[in-house]
Amino acid sequence: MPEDSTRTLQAIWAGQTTHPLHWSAAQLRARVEQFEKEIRRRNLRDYVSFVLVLIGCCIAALMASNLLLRLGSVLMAAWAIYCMHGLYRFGFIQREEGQREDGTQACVAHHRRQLERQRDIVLSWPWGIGLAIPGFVLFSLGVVYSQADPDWSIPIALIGCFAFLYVFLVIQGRTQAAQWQREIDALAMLESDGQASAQASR
Amino acid sequence: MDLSIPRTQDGLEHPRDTLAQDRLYEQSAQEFGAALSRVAAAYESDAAHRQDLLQDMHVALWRSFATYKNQCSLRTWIYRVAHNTAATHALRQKRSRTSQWVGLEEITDVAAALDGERAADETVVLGKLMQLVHRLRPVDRQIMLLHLEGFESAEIADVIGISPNNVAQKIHRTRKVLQQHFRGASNA
Repeated sequence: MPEDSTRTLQAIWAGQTTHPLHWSAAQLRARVEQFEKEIRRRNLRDYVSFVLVLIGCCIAALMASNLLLRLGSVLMAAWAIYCMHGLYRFGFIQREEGQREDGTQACVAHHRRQLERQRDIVLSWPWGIGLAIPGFVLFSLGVVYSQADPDWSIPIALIGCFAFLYVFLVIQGRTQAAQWQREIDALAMLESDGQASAQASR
Repeated sequence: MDLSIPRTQDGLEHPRDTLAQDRLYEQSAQEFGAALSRVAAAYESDAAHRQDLLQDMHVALWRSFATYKNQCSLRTWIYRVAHNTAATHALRQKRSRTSQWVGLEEITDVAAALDGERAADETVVLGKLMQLVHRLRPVDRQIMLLHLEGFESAEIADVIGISPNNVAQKIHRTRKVLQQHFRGASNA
């Protein structure tokens, strides 16, 4: 491209109307405090929801009238614990200081880590759902089994629906993860090339 | 303008000092405020979301100065923070639509090339430039934006974290793409 065209485009780019933010450090600090307060409130709400599920499942396991109900409740309790761990690990429940972006990470490394995080999230779905589904199925079977005249059609239909949903989510997650993995590999190659070049220039 | 980290009386840096962090932020926001706005515009076409992104960038920048110890130039640091924040935002917004992004090598279908009078209209050129930039994958987008901001290859390599040779190849490709789409823009 001719140099003058490049300069013209650069001039048009630099000359675009912008609306810069004019915040003083004090305004910024107030904003950060407000943001952190919102995160703390959201964290608390999410943890409380899972703790309530966990307590409910534990009570159900203790009071269950048959083994199926008890096993189902235990698996559901394990699912609630796994979800709490997942929320913390993947940062859906953000740490109090929030997610930090800083200048120590070059853009390619940063983008690669973000994609790795997304990939790990979708690959963890089968485990989370895998604990919930058998728990729910056993619980449903336990409820039907405890009745005097059991009707098995509803739990069988539920098992079919959940199995279909599980397979669908696993396939979708793996397809998405494979797409991200290709991008991660391409970025890792770019990055290693950059690191080799930096070492060679030293 | 002096943008260096303030030092204590015995000459030691104290970037964790809140006042130093505030001062560095305010000076940077003044000098690079317009550039941050341009980065936000290049990642987010919706006005309300763009404002949110810009606020996130400022918050990230202010926070980042707590760990800035002259590891790289201030300009590199600021652009890294801005682009990293924007890329996270873009990934979050387009989580299910990342397949719509294309690389510099594949971008051919944004719109017909501009010629003559339309190329002389800066608003049209800018609109098309934004359209082009919004379609690109984050890394290619970052390279094109830094090129448009007037960065040299070595500086781009520093911000992005890839080799200068790779950057040079990508810039060559960027120029070709711009040439294809903005023939006659030098008359603007």
